[in-house]
Amino acid sequence: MMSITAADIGFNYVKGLVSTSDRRAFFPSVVGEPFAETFSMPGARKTRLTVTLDGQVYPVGDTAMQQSTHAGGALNADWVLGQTWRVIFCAALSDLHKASVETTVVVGLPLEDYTALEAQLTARLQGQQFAFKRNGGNHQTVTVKDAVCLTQPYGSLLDQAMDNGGHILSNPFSTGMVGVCDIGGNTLNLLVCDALEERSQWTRGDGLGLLETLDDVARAIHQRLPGITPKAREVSAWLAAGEFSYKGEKHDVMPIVKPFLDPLLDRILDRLAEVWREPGRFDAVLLTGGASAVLGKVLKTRMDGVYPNVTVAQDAQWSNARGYLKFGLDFWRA
Amino acid sequence: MPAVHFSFTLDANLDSHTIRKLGTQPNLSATVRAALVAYFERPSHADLDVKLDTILEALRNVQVVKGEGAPEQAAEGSEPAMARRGLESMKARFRNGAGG
Repeated sequence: MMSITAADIGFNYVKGLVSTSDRRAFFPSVVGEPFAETFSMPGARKTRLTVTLDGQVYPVGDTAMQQSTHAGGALNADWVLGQTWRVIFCAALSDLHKASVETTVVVGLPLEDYTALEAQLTARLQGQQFAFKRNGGNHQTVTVKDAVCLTQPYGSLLDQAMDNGGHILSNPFSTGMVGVCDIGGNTLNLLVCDALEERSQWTRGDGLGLLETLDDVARAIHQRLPGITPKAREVSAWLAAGEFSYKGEKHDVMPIVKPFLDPLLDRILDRLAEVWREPGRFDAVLLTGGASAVLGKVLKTRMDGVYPNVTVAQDAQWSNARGYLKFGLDFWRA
Repeated sequence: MPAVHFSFTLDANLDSHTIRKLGTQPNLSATVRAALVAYFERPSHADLDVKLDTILEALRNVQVVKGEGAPEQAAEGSEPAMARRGLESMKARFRNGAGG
């Protein structure tokens, strides 16, 4: 059976899975300044990640953040049509496939951008060959035989509603009226489905600005502790851990972050009240997306009592990718 | 066995600990032979780098599974019909690019 590749390429992190092995792709959605390919690749150890594409060598993920002064990731929604996204996609493919293969691909887009970008993104994948080298190694070609693009929160819903073989489970997420609140690095996706079919009147996508908030937090940390100039992505990791190190001592991150996160939580709750006006119609609400690891628990506390059965997805940053893979298993089942 | 003799010098001050240890060995030649064989056969830095890379590559592909017990599995023939209709409808919309 041909493999199915699930790639959740978010503004913040890349999460990739494949149906034929336990391999995973997980790295920051960042690409560094490219440099010309040479015969020697000093320091190109396996712990680093570079992708050679179109004769240029691109540092990717942590390698880009460490090596490049001008590392760039997603800035605008249409980044999915550009070279940065293509490099990141190839890096994910190189994590998931160790040889030249044919595969089918499931990707996703935020609700806000789906209508404008889905057709162009799918066309850039379907039937295309991606020829690249990982860390200056052997040439590898991945041929995408077929591709489908979902909305990101639908992936999270399917992760709850289907088993690992891509079969529909019988539970409130598959049979009920479910609200999915997917909080990404830069997006807020609000999806409502009734028995897995979208209810458009309660479905909206917005920019959220979590990354901007994290930038503000990073500046606040720098003002308070001038010995470090953290990046937004570092702050995100510190938030998940609850602490960070400064001059060999652990510091609680919450007192610094709270004044910035509270307005963000208020914005999310305002948006929920506006879009999901009839909470009594819901059977369950799912909080998911990479940022729900940081905001989920606090948000759930504030939503309990208003919305029924509010659940924070386990290992939420992988929810979309797992759902994409389950969708693919059903979609291409022989 | 045909014997070959080498002599070497130790510093009475710097190597005093080694000299004391050598003095307690019941078979000095066997001890020195074993030490030299181990020295010459030790892995080089390049060998260790290759091993480290192999281990790191293996660790990178380790899947950490959270949660308790076995993953939930759908019972055969138990698929809720309404949910199947809903999913089929969405599959058609995604295939036609109208999922949003």
